[in-house]
Amino acid sequence: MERHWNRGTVRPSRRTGARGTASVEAVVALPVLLLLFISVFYVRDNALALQSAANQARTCAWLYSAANCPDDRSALPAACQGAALSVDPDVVDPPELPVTVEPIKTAIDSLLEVALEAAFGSATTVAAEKSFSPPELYGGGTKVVHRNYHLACNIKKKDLGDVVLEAWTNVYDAIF
Amino acid sequence: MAGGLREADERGAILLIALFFAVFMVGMVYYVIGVAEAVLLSERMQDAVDASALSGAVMNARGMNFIVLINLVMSALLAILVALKLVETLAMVGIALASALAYPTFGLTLPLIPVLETVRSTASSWYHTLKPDIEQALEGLNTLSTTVARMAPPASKELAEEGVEKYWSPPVECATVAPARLTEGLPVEDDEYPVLCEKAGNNVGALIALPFSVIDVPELADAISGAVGGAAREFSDWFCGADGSGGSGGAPSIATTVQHYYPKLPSVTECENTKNDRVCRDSNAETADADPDDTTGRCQAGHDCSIDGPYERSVRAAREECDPTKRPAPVEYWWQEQTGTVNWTWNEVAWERGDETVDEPVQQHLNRKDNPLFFKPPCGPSAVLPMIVGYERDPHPNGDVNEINPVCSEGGAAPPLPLPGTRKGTVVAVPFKRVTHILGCRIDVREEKRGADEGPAASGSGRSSKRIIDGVSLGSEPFQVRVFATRKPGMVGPGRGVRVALWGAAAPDSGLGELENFGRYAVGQAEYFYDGTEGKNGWMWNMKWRGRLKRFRLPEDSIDAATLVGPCAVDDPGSPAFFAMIAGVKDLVMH
Repeated sequence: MERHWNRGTVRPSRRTGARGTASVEAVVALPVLLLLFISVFYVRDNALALQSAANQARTCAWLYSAANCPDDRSALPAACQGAALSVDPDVVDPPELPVTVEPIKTAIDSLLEVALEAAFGSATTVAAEKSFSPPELYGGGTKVVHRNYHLACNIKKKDLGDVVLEAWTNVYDAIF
Repeated sequence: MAGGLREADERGAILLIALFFAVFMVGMVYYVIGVAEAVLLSERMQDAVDASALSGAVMNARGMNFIVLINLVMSALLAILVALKLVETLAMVGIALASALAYPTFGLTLPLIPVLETVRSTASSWYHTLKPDIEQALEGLNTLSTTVARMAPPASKELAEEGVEKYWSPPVECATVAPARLTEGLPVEDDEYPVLCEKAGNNVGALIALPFSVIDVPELADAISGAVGGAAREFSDWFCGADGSGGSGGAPSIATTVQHYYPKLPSVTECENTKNDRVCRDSNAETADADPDDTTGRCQAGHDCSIDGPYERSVRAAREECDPTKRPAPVEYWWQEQTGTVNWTWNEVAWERGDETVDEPVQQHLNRKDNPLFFKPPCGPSAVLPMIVGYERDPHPNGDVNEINPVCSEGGAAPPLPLPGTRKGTVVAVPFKRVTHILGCRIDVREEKRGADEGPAASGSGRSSKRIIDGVSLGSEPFQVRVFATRKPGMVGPGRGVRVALWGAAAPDSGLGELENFGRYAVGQAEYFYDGTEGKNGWMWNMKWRGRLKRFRLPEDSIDAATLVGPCAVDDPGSPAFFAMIAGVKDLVMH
């Protein structure tokens, strides 16, 4: 029975059954929103880590290449000498020679290596990694991202004396 | 009781708002993913082209260093002959001195002569024994260095593109590495044989002067080295023998007469220098536009006949380049000639110039070989005995294309004073002839041409070392390597994430038009250079060539889009259009 304000009829209030509905809905909706909100930060951290790893790989690769990919990495900045980096110069292998006497074969290989290194050189692949902490919602802990940068090694300046000395050193080491 | 009627129905209010907000947040998450992806992919693309450009440049630098190594080996081999010849020469000088001093020393120097003769003959014998083998080795090394010079740019292109595919794909879908001089090879050519002989002499001198270097007298060591090298160069036939081509160095040359036709528009000169297809196409079009009518010599209808057009530029240049006082003088002329009459009216005091009647201009032609005895240029100073004396250089001094200043003219002047009694108003028509334009000429020039000078090797059977070709300097176009790369189509624009965030709707027009493609392509450039303080003569005698990255610039001489874009155009038809666009604004685009 309904009562208008000027008619005197009263309808029982429906509010009693709906009390707390908004709260329940908020409780339901809030975790979803929270999940999405935290996801944005997770994506950001992931992208930042990837970009940081890429920057480090790029910088270290260029520095290493400019220094002619030396065996001794002590001249590189500290950030490039960390355990997270691996530098692998690769050189074209000398052809298989039909020489059976080992010391002579080794000596010729050493000489060819000088010539091949002069002709083809070497390249390096620098791998950098960065870690960040995902939100607990995504498992927490530590996530590691990797980035590689492949670059040709620049050339070390040499004159004839350096070439002769290098070839002689290789041959001497190979034989003795 | 009335309050209950005012209460709104709040059921579902939070959930609805939360639903909309959640949709927004999902879009936000995907948008962030898309932006991050776009940035990371863009950086990766740039890393790829930078690394591959440097790789290409380093490969070419290695090629140059390898040629330097070959030069050094050649000079070391030739030093053996120079050393033996030096010993022989010194022995001969010793014999001569011993003979000359025999009388003043009462024969004390005579016993030296047999010893010196033994030394001389032994050195000579070894020289002639070793010479064929060393010459053969030099020829082989010359061929090897020629091969390296030819193969280095295409090999660097191949290896660099292979590296891109192996290490940078994805996101790179296609990459073209374009070293300069891809077909011509490295910018080297055969040097003169005496230069190699001089270097061999320097090596021998350095060995002789080694003790002076050890005791820290480097100036004396340099002097000895330089003296021996200089002597070896001056008497290279004696010390080193002739080179394989039969001359004192380099390929034999032949003299030939070359016909040069003028005027040459700047685009024609550019085409001859660059041999670029696009430049030559433009040049041919401009030359056709400048071509005068065969009958009248006028600018043809439908062509650009403005004062800055090809025809007017051509006739202006022709007056300069076909000047009959030049040496050698032109031997063939084309010109436009106009005849007519000027009416002079007698007013009882003087002749008054009246109207002139001008005939249609006519193109004329004269070749010296048709009439060698009486060949005359159409215009010129009296000393060159022209048809008409005079030579005006500016066809339009007032800047009006319709007002032509003739090159020269004759006739049309006032007639002589008439006889007494001539009536006032008597009109006399005086003929005139004008050369309105010089249209072209031919000059024959005698030029020395080297035989077999295609590509980097000037002589196929020579024994010379290599040098840098003329006309190049460090940082110039022959040392540049450019890279062009395209990204996989699925990664274009805002990225997958943002497209998801758009719920399948088309991406809004950014208003950038064609410039959006900048995000789809990447360009990079590097160069190989000589990292030393030696002058140009020393660039091919020290292994100091290295590679370095450079800011991307389109070359000064226009490059065909196909050369840089290459096979990527097959996979991505839009890339030539993109390149044509940046070629159009190349002075504004910087990487």
